[in-house]
Amino acid sequence: MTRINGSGRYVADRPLSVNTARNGIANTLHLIDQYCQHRITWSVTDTDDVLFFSPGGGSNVTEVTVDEPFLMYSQELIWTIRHDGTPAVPVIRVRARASGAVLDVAVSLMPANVPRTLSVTPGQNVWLAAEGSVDNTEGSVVGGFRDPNTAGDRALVDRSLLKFPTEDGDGNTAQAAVLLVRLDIWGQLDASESSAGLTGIWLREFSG
Amino acid sequence: MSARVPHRPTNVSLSQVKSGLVPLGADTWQPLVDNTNYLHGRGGQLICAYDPVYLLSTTGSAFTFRHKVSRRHNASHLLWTITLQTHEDGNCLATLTSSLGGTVDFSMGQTGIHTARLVEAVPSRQTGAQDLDMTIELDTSSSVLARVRGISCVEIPRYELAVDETEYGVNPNSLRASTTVLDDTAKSVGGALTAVQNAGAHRGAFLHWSVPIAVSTSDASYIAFFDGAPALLQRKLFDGDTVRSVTCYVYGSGTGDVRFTMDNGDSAVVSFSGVGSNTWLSETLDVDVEDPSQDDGNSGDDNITIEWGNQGTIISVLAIAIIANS
Repeated sequence: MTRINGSGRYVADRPLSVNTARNGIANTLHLIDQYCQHRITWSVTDTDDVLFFSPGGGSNVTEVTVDEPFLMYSQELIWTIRHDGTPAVPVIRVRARASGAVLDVAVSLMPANVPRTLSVTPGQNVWLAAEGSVDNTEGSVVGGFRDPNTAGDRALVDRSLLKFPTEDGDGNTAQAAVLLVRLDIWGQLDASESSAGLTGIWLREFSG
Repeated sequence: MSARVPHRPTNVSLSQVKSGLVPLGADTWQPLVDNTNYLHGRGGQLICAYDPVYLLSTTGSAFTFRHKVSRRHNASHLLWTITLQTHEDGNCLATLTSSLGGTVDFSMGQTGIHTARLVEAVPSRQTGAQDLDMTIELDTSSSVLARVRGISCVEIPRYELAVDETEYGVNPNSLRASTTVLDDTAKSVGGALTAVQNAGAHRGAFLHWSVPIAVSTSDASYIAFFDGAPALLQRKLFDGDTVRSVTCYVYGSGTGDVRFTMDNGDSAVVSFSGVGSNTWLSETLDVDVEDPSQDDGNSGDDNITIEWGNQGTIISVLAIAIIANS
């Protein structure tokens, strides 16, 4: 990791040094990767604020079916492409709590325009076994982009590039393409008369 | 004249730059300029996605979520994604309005999680910390209510950059084979290196949280603000970087303290003393940078503990934000 400084700057009466060029290239590629962002940082302030999912339903509770996956959280995000053309590595932690049952949580991260499917591939999911009514349980995972048409964790396809209107340097309207992905968090309860809820998510990009 | 911003970066091989062998050719300079244009044209995450788990409890009332953000000067448009959840089938019409003036109506019909997008122009290009709020109102014709499950805002990448020393766009045509090498600030080799020298990796947002109605405490000791410890890591720009500074903002009123403590030992206390009207107050905090030797970049000290109270008097908080200083 090097960063160019003023002393290496090209001037008309002095040849451009190889080191200046190498530093310029290395610096640019490094900065592209270091552009990685924090995309989600969230925790509930109080466990009373948790939105619960339960077979029984009720006030402030979303009714779900036992032994069937249900969508707990969904968020669209712009993702960073590293200098080698691959997406930045996702690093995610999920906190959840469940009452009286085991809660399984699965995470999928894929191009936003791919139809929702439950991701169940081991290694690409966060699995939490949050038993009891008090303790929160945290699970974490590194990596895990999923494209149903392509093998490999890092695969993303061009069709995930969506275009949004923007403005060029002269003030004219144009189109900019961005890579949009969607994070889905699924839960599944394996016993009746129980409830579950998310209490926190942390998702950031890592240059890898 | 303008410089096109490519969709994705181009990998440039350092092995093409060898002392004493061949001159640095156009096939190296042009991808380098594509990359500097890509870097200067990019936007950052302005508001980290967060879930306020907030029920819009009445129709015809405005609910405002407040944020402090760190903008990048080149950004021209913003993209909001607002996630709303309805718990029963029925008509629900929400109007989303940004404090910069952008607005969109969003209609929901079936039970489920729905994502609304709002694209708006930035009226003036500025840098530094600024307020950026989102107001959501359900139309009185709505037959069901909605819950806010996610708020996020990013700067949309630019399509083109101006070729000047404000936006640092460089026209790749000025680096074609056989063109004159110039020590210019916006074109040719000089422009490329000027663009490199002024490039930066902007990681502006680290944590956001806001609710429309304040939460309060009058505890005489520090108590946890969040149920769990969020995590933050700064970018690593230089060899030897171990920490970089961020600014912790609290929007609230009353009398009391909000304390931010990193696992690395650094802490900051934002103190409210007889603050009558809601206002933003801030303090700086040192956060660990990413550790490239780890698979996930985690230095091991990435958790932040946020506590509040301490004075035994009422402090009310509507929003917390942790953003970059530059």
